[in-house]
Amino acid sequence: MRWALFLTPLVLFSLLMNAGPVLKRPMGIDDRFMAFLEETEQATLAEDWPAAADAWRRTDRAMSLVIRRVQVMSERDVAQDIFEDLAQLQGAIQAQDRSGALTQIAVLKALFKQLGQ
Amino acid sequence: MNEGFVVGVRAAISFISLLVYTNILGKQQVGQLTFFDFSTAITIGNLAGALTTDFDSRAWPHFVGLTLWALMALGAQWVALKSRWWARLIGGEPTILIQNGHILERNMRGSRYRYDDLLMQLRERGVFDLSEVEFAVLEPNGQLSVLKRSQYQPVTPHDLGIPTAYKGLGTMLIHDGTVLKRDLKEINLSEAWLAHELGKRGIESPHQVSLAILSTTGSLFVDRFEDHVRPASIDDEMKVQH
Repeated sequence: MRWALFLTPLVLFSLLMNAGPVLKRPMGIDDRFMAFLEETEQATLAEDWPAAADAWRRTDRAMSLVIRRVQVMSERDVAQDIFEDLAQLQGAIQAQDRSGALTQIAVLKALFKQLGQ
Repeated sequence: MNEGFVVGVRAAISFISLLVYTNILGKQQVGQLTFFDFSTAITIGNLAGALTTDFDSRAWPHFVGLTLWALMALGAQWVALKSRWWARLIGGEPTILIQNGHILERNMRGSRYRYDDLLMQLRERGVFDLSEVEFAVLEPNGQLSVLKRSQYQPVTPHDLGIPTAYKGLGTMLIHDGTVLKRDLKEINLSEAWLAHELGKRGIESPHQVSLAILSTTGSLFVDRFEDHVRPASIDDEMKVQH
């Protein structure tokens, strides 16, 4: 009984701190970060800038939702880098800079993999 | 990222983890810790602090570090129970500083122990005259154990051949107005007996009692919440003096 009392919180904490990969998966319609980023990428490749800007807004919104769930188990630097890169991606889309936007999208994909891992 | 929220969750995790690990690691008091125990405790505390506020890395590595240190400390304690060599290695061993009334300077130097330290710790033990000391031993936890010469040791009833009665530990029966039924049952007494005893003292309910302890000699100590003691004032003291 005593050991169960000790081990239960430790096991729960371990699960919580390793729940990042699960919690960053989409749980609704608005938090599909990777899907929206793919849409942004496709629109950028097609140089459809209004569509890219629209997809970017949804990507940014999705990240705000995902970060709330994984903030406890994530590094602050990774989360900050993601929002910085999202801002740079927005700038690249506004400037209709295809290569700049694609670079930021690639960085965002890599950072999202690290988030909560 | 809501930093206040993250700190709150991480603080709860490190606080509860620390509570669990310190409970597992035992009941030694700070004064009984060896230097190794002390260093381990500081390291574990640092890891718990980092787990709470270090946002530059994930919580998990800190938690693993905290857990590993606690487990290693537990392992070291366990091995120390089995191996005297290991116990001496991590805890050190006692050093004799005064033997048969003579200060052992070499042991003093080896322990980096100053004469001032020796005199201070002797005074703390109530020894103000070095000539009263037969043996003084520096324990691994830094405490000084002192054996006075037999002519300076206090006389006990045993020395005088006076018989004494058994005096064990008392049993708490009421704590903060609550009857401790299990303790009452362990000494084969009933709540009715307790109520009767309280009634003899003019107490109607255990809720009026802050503390009740039954000694091994059978006397019941009862302290009420209502003290009926008039606070002493400066005027009262002046009256007494005049």
